[in-house]
Amino acid sequence: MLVVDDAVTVRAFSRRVLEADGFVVDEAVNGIEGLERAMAAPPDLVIVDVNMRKMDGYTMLRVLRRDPSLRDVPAIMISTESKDSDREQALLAGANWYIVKPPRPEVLVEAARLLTGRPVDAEGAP
Amino acid sequence: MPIRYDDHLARFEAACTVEDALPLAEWLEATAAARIDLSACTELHTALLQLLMAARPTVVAGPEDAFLAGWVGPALGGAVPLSSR
Amino acid sequence: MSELFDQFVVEAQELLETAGAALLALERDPADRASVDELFRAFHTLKGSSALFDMAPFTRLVHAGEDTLSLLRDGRRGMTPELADRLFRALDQCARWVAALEETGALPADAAAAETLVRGLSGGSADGDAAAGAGQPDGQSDAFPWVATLTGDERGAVGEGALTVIDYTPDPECFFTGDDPLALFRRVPDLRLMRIEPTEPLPPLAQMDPYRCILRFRALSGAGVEAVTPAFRSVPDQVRIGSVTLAPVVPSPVAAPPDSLAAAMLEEQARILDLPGGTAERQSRRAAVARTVTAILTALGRPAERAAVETACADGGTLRRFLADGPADKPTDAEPRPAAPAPSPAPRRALRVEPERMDALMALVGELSVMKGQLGPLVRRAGDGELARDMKAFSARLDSLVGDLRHAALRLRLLPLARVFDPLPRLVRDTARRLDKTVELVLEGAETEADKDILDVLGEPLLHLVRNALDHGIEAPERRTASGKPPGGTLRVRGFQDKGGVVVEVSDDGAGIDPAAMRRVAVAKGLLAPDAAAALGDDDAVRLVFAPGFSTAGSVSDLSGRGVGMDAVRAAVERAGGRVEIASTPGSGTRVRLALPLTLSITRVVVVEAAGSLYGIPVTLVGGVQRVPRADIHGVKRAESIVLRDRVVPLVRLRRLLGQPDDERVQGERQRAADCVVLAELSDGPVAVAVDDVGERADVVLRPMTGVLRGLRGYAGTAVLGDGRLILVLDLRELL
Repeated sequence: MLVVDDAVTVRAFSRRVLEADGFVVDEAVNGIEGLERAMAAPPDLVIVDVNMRKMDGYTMLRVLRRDPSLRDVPAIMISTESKDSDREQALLAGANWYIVKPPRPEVLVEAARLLTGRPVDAEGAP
Repeated sequence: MPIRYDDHLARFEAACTVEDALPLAEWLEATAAARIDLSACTELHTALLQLLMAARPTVVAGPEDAFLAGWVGPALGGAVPLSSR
Repeated sequence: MSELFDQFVVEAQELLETAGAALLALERDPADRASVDELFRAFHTLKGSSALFDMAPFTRLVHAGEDTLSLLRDGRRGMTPELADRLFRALDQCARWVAALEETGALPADAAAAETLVRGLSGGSADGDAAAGAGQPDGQSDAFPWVATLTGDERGAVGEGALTVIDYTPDPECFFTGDDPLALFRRVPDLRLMRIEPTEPLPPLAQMDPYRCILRFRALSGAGVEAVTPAFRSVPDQVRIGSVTLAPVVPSPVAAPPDSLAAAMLEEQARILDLPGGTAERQSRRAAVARTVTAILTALGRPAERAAVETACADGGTLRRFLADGPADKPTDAEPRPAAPAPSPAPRRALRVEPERMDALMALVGELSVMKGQLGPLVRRAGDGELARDMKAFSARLDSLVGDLRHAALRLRLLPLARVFDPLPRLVRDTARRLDKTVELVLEGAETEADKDILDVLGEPLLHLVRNALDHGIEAPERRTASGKPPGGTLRVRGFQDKGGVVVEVSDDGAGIDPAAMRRVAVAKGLLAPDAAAALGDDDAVRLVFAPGFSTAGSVSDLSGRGVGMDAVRAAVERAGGRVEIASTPGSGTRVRLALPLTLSITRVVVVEAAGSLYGIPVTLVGGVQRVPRADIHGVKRAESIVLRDRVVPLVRLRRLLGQPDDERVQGERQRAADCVVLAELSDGPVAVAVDDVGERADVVLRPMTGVLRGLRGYAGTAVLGDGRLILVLDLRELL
C-alpha cells in the first residue's frame, strides 16, 4: 500500500504500524510523487494526507479516480481536521474512509485490513 | 492513616489524600509484587492515582465507590494510551 | 519508537527553521501569501506529527499557532510586530522543547510557562476572548480532535447527539495549591466518558516526583456546557470546555456487528454512492466503492461476487439493501489478499553521520596521506629497475587515489555557510527592534561551503560582528536622516571562497570608525603612549579595535558589550589559523573580513626554507611572495624594513627568529642581491618575513606538536609533505 504524507514522522509512523502487521508499505511525500508511485505499481490501498505542498491530497485523489487503472483503488484520507465538512470534502474527492490524525495504530491497522480484504481478527500476515 | 500497609498489600480506606503520596511512593518503590485493595476507598487523590498508574501494582480488589469504579478502575487496569506505544 | 522519535526531532527542527524564515519574511511583507502558507503548513505539520507522541503542551502550542495563522491566512487578523513576537516566542519555545526531546527524550517540566504562550497566541485575536478561558464556543469539534478517535466501545458508551467535551490538563504544580483534579470530575453531571492519560511518558517510579501532576483528563458529558463549567471554576486556565455533536452510529444489520469499524465503513460507502458529482466522477467512485465493499466483506469472512457487488453499487439504498439481505452467514476460509509488491523503499533524503565517525575518518585519511608520503623515498631508493618502474607507477596511482579520497572525505565535512547565516535574520530583526533601528540584512553566498569545524569557529564571531554593527555601526534613523542617509541601514554579510579558504565579510553603511577617536581612547586607556598613538596610520588606528581590552562605545551596551570585544573575535579566528581585517570610512561604514582556512585538519601552507630546513606558513596569512633587492631594505641590522605597496613593512629574518646564524654561506656562493620575502598579513599589521627560499604550496594534515616538542613556542604543528619530507608549520603570531 502507499502512504502519502509530507510529514516524515507521520509517514514513518504509518509505515511502522502497517509493516508490523505484515503490509508492504511504499511512501511518497506529496500528491505528485504519490501518483507517480501509484502508477508505477498500483497499490491495494492508498493512505493520503490532506495538506501537502506541491499537490494536496484532494487533488491527488481526484486525479487517481480519473486514471483507468487506479480509479477503484480504495483510499483513506487522513487529516488533523475532525469536522464533518472536512470529512465530506474527502469523500467527494474520492476517499472511501476518513481518519483523524493522529491515527491510533489499532484503528489504522483495522481499516487497512478491511480495505484490503484481510481478515480483521486473524493475526498479522506471515 | 487512610492507607494501611501490610507487607505486600496496601489497603486504601476512606478518603486517601495527597498526604499519602510520599509514603505510597516509597512503599511502591520498596515493595516487589505490590498489591492493592481499593474496595474501601471512597476518595483517591490524583497524586496517588498517578503513582498507581506508574507502578501498576496488582489490584486485588477494585473500588466500590461508583465514581472510582467507573473511571479510575479502568485507568489502573486498562492500557495506558499513547505513551505505552 | 526511538527511530520514529528521532525522525520527529529532525523533522521538527527543519520545520521550525522553515517557520522562522517564513515569519521573518512575513513580518517584512505582511501581504506575502506564500510565507503565510509556509508558516501555516509548518505549524500544521508539527501539530500532526507531535500528536503521535505524548507531548500535549507541544501539540497545544503549535495548535494555537496554527489557529492564529489560519485567521491570518483568511485575512481575519493582521500581522503586527507584537503578533510576530508572540509567534517567535512560540517557535523559540518549540525549539527549546525539541532540543530537550533530543537530549532527554521528554519535554521539560515547564508546560505551565507554555500555557502563557498558548494564551498569548489565542488571546488578542479578532474573535478576542472566545478562545481564552473556559467558555469555548459551541460546535468546535475540531478543537478536540481526540473525540473523533473514540473506539467503537467508547462511542457506544457515550451515546450520540450534543455532548460537552472537557480537556483538562492540570498545572503540574497544582497539588501545592490544594487541587485534586480527579475530584473535580465528581461534580461533572452526566459524565459519560473519562480518559485519564499521562501528559508525558510515565517515568520509572524512582524518578517520579509524587507532588507533580503529570496526568491529563479528557471527558465527555451529556450535560450542557453551562452545567459542566462550574465544576472547573477554580481552574479556568487549565481546562477547555466545548460542545460537539456526535453522529449516530448507524448499525448495519448484516455483515458486521454494530459499532464496528467495518459497519461504519460499509455505511460510509453507501453514503459515498449518493454524493453529488459528474457522471465520470460518480462512476469512478462506484468502482472504488465496489472494490472497497468487496474487500471489507472478504475481510469479514463473507466474500461476495464482485459483479454482484458492482450491481448493488448503483446507489446508497441498493447497497444498503444488498448488505442487509446479502449473502448468508457462511464462513469461508478467505485467503488474505497478498499485498502489492513494494517497488523500492522510499528514498532517504539525508544521511546523518555522527561527528566522531567523521573525525575518525579524517584522522585515518591523514594517516594514510603520511604513509603514502613515505612511499616516495622508498621508490627512489629502489633505483630504476623493472621493479622500481612498477613501484613508481603503483605509487603514482596510489597518490592520486589518496588525493581523491582526501578530497572526498573533506567534502563530506563541508557544509554551506547557511548554517551560520541562518540565525542572522532573526538576530538582526530582534536587535533592530530593541534598538529602534531599521536595518535591512543582505545575505550573500550562503551556499559557500566550508568545513564543519570552521563553521563552528565562525558562528560566534559572526554573531558578535553583526550585533556590533547594529549596536555601534548603524546609526539611529534620525541621525542617519540628518547626515543625508536613508533612515534604514543596510548590513551586508557575504561569504565566498578565496585562495583555499573561506571568507566572510560583514559590512555596514553606518557611522564608521573615527581613527582620531581610536587614538584618543587608546591613550586614555593606557594602551599606547601619546606619541606612539600619534604615529599610527589611520588603518592601524582603526585596527586597534582588535586590541585586548578595547571598547569603542562610550557605554557598555547590553548587546555587544559585556566585556567581550572584538579581541575575542580576533582570537577565535586566529586560533583557527585565520585572520581578521577591518576597513572603515568615517561616516560611510565599516567592513570586517574574516578569512579562514577551508578546514582545520587540512591546512594549505607555503613551504619555505631557512638554514636547510623546511617550514610551512599557512596560506591564509600570506599576502604575497616576492624578491626584494637588498638595496631596498632599509634600516640598521636589527630593525629592518621595506616598502611594499606603498606601506612601510617591518622585515624579520626567519633564520634569526629561529635562532639560526645569518645566511652568509649562500650569500657568498651566489652573491645574492635580493632577499626572498613572504608578506604575512597579521592582524597587527603586515610583516615581511625573509626566508632562504620559497617552495611549493601544499595541503598538509597538521599534527599538533607532541612530546618534548610540545613546549616549543612558535610552531602550530608538524606536517608531512606529499614526498614524505617533514616540515614544521610556523605560528608567526607567536614567533614574532
